[in-house]
Amino acid sequence: MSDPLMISVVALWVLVLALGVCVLALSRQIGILYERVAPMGALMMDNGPKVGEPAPVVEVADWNGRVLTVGGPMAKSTLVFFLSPTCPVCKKLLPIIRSVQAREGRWLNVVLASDGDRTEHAEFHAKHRLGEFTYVLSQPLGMTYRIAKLPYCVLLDAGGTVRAKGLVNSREQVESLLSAYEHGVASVQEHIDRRVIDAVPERG
Amino acid sequence: MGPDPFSIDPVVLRGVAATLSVVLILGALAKLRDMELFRYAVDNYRLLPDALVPGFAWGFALSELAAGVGLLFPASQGGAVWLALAVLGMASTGVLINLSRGTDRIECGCGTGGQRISAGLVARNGVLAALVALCATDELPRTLGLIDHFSVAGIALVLLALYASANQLLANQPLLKEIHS
Repeated sequence: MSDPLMISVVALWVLVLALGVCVLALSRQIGILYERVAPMGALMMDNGPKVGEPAPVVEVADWNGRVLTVGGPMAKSTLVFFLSPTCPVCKKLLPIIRSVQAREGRWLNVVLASDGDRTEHAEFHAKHRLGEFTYVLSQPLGMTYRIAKLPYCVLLDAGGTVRAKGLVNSREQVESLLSAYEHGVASVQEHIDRRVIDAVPERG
Repeated sequence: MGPDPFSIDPVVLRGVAATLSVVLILGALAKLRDMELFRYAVDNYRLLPDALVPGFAWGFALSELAAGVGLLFPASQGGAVWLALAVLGMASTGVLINLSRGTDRIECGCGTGGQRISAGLVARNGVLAALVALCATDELPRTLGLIDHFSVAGIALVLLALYASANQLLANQPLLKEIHS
């Protein structure tokens, strides 16, 4: 291994590999900057109505054309699940949303919200048997909550206040939004932060 | 008789084959880990009747896995090359049909979290297919030494880092477009 050429080749390989890893890390960090979402939990975005604030009142029409008000005082709390027919994770979460509605129906209304052409949604609505849900197509609703990524959940209490919101990718994250509401924290991230803060022993 | 002009040094061929194996095996495992999600991704392409979607999804993921494993062993490399080309060809055809329909907002289902279909994805598959075809060429007959094994590992690791970076940049593209719009 004392051949200078061989040493040079080995050194170059190590450097090329290190540069490759740097390029990968930088492209990932650029992606994270674009997303502006931390990498774990049902994270709260900084945009749109804040948790604890009254939700803006948005009038929308449901699938059958009835006018519905999202926001403002209501008989029950409302879970708005923003989805799209082209989002595989949304489809995967539908059975979970269905079970949440069945289990929490006493105090919770589930509203499925999307936007776009009705004909595009008709097939999705029929195929996934979404007749049991309130299904609304409204661009203003998505704009109000500044929905950038799907699937996204917003939980409003009966008084019309935003109680929890976040990007959801799994059953755990949907459940965590509901438990965040029950425990009075804004998002799962805040819940984790609180636990971390609680766990840090005080110095003195 | 001199060396065949169409033969390629085994260091290059083995490095490329190892890279492709890892790419295909990881892609297949990501799909197999969450078949429900992959089934919905296949469904979004709107190319198959509902009844055929689950069978196709399983067939595609298992073929990808078989191609990846096959490329690792010289005995099975011939068949694996054709299987890998078929898998890449099918995926690219699906993407191209949907791009021509104008439905470019669907996720590709590549197993790399939320990456949307794009012309860049077809180009990426084209490069992978060219590398697969390279694996079908003959090896120059020579014995590999210690430094050669080191070079094979270097080629494979650097190509994998490049592949992961290319995927990340492709996934960033729609977000960048949204920021500009």
